[in-house]
Amino acid sequence: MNPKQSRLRASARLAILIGAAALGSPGAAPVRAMSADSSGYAVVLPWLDDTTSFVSTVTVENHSPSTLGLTAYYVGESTSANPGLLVCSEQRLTAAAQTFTLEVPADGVLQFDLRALLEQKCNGSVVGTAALDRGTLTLFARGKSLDRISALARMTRAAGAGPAGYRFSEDGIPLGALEGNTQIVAGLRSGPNVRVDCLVSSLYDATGSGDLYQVTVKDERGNAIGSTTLGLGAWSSELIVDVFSKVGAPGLVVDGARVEIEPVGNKSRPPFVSSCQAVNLANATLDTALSVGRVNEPLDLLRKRRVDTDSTPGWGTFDFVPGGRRPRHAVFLRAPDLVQCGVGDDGLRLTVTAPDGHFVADGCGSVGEFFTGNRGEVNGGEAGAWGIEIDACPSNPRSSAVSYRLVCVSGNGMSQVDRVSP
Amino acid sequence: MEVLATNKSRRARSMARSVTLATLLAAAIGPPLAASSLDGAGRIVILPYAVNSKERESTIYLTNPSNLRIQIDAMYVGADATPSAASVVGPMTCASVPVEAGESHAISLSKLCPKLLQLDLENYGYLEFRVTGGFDAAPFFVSSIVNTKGGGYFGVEGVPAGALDPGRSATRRQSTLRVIGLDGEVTAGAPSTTKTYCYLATLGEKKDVTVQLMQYRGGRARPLGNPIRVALPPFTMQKLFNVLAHARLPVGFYGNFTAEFYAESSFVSGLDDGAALIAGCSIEIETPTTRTEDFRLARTPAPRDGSRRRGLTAADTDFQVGPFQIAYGMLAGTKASMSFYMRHEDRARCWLVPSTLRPLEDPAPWQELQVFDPDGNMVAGGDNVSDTGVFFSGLKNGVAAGENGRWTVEVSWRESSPGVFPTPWGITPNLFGVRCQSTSGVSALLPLPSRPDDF
Repeated sequence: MNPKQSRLRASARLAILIGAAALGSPGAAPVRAMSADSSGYAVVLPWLDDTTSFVSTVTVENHSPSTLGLTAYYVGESTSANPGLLVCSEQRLTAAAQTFTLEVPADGVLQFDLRALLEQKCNGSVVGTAALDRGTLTLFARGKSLDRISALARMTRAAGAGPAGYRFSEDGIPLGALEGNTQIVAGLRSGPNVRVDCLVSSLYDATGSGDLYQVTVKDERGNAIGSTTLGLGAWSSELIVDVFSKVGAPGLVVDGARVEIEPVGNKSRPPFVSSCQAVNLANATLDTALSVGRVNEPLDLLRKRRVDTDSTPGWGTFDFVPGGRRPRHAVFLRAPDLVQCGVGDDGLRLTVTAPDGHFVADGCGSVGEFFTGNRGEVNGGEAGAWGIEIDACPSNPRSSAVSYRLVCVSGNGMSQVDRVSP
Repeated sequence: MEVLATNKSRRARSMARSVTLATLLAAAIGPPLAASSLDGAGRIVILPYAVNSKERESTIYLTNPSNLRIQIDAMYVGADATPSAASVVGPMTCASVPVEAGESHAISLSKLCPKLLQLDLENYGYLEFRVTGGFDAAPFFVSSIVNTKGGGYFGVEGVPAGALDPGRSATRRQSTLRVIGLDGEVTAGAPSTTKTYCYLATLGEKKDVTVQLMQYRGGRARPLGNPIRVALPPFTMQKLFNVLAHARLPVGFYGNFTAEFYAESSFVSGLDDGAALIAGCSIEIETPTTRTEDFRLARTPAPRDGSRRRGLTAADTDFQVGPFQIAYGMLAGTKASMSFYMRHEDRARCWLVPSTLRPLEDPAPWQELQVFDPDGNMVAGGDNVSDTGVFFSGLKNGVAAGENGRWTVEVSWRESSPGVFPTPWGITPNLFGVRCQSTSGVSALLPLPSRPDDF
């Protein structure tokens, strides 16, 4: 199926989905996130512009020891010159003169403008001096390999649109870090001279059904101001111009507003990316910030802020037998952090050890909140698996076998406190 | 390792791949998902750059996504050569801010830290926010906007303290911290209106940092200018004004360069300094009417994180799990099982290697392995396969309902080709070794009970 057919099919499905959305959808709690690691076989740049005011430059770094070809999936928002999916590569060249090659030298960096990419590498693209492009770009390392890339995009003021300068830059997000749960864009300002625009884009969708998104604007107290709904098929993008007007609150003055984008239609939770930026209506070429929507509830068993579990797949239910082996658990933590764990039974003692084996804390029933130590003080700076051992509490020992439950909280996120030995 | 349990459910098929209109309708009117965790939020959150002057001021947004009221304590670390430099006055205790459940609290830097000295010089530094209370508290997140003269502004995001990486030494370029895509110039006369700065700061540990600018020319990464060495005591921050000039580069324009940050390996131990580093660079535009910065926090392509390792992750008969040493023999007629965390969509590979206990013996031709996704579907390997080759994890919402989870790798002795029961001469019974790798990062392998060999 070519991209155009894909768009038509998606549109047909979405007509049904949007009708379904009128039945209503739930609210959601807020949030946001950040990742300090950058690489993967595919990375996503949430918002690129090529307009009369701003142009986008993409920088891609190749972390492999050999030259790496790229494939780019550009998804233009529906009102732009190239709406929907365009696949771009050296195998999809246009008739335009070629000024660069879409490949990155070993351990090297490639830099190109969005305009050049669309004009040269995306067969079927609409180009011209009046073309206005805005969308999301996903870059893939070509071939079936473990080669990794990182990327960064920066928005630069276009020639003739004021003094030379940057508007903002954005980091590429590893594709695996995106997910299909509620995202929030926080710390937004709105007012009579400030317009907040948001872009929501979808990626691969295993179901092919697309999803519906309820976009809710909230004030600084977390109260909903209003909401609207949009639908996206796989690899599509929608721009919400003036999201406050869209939800029925034009010109409302709020400092600390939030926009929440909640998927409400597809239970398989296809991944998506969202971002918002404020536009100064008095001078639309002024610098501003791009705020990328972050996951509220990470769909990631490795980064849970609270774990409450009584079993590990494969090991079964947690149980303690007096006189038997001490059950051992492992949990991935990242220092520095504040952590607390409890076992819900005063007859059982927990002992926490760092990855390098040094004792950290113990307690019957629960260990109080403890500081992991600074990064360099634990395991030479390498974040790793911490140990938790269960045994009988010396002052109130368990005399019979018992099943137990572990509850832990962490600030940075943690794994599932897996049992790792009999 | 004894066989403790069988897990037939692991073979359960994955969720239906096609979604019907009926299910979509049900989802649209269903209850909200429970909110119990927040990636990017933390209990110790660092805002890497905050500013206060007559021309510019940070407004900080503290967002509490939980249903608990939390109390957030703030600390300011002023950069060297600023009025409230931490190297002179120490880290500054700022306000303790109550944030109600679901609230976003906006506060300027000068109100958050009223003890900031207000001189003609600009205050800038980083902020640490912390909430304590264990089970009775909750993570929060931080973002900020810096208002500048002329109406423009720029944003800086807060990061959980644990996401800050130490980086590695220059000999492991794959793991240094870096900011890519920088531009700048060195001028002979009046300073340019475009300035390229870098910022370096420490948390509670000292760190000796080297900053090396790099440029990619002729297909190679080449050093650009001299290395810049900076010694940072705990809780301090330094700004490298015009980082190109610091590197002693001659007058000229430099496009598309990278700033890399690392700690030199110890001469004594040969180990890298593991202390966390807050590093970033910005490009500042200053004109009579505006002064904004494009601030970029340094990131690493391969973090020092055993749960998101981009290099090899290993399991072995001599099994090490964090602080635990666990012997794991693979008896004939049984299979060894291990789990690992992976975030799909991803590309990965697992393969058999000699055990570290007998590094000169290669049992791979007599062993086999297979990999299962979190839904229990076999996705790679199988009978008589010693190396899965690179395999694709499957699409995000085609595996585990879109949740990153535990994957399983199993290893056993082959039944044929060339056949191994009893174990061939020269191969020690019970030993195995396995490696896995992925592009988005996999965790260290965790042992599961061994089970009867069924493949």
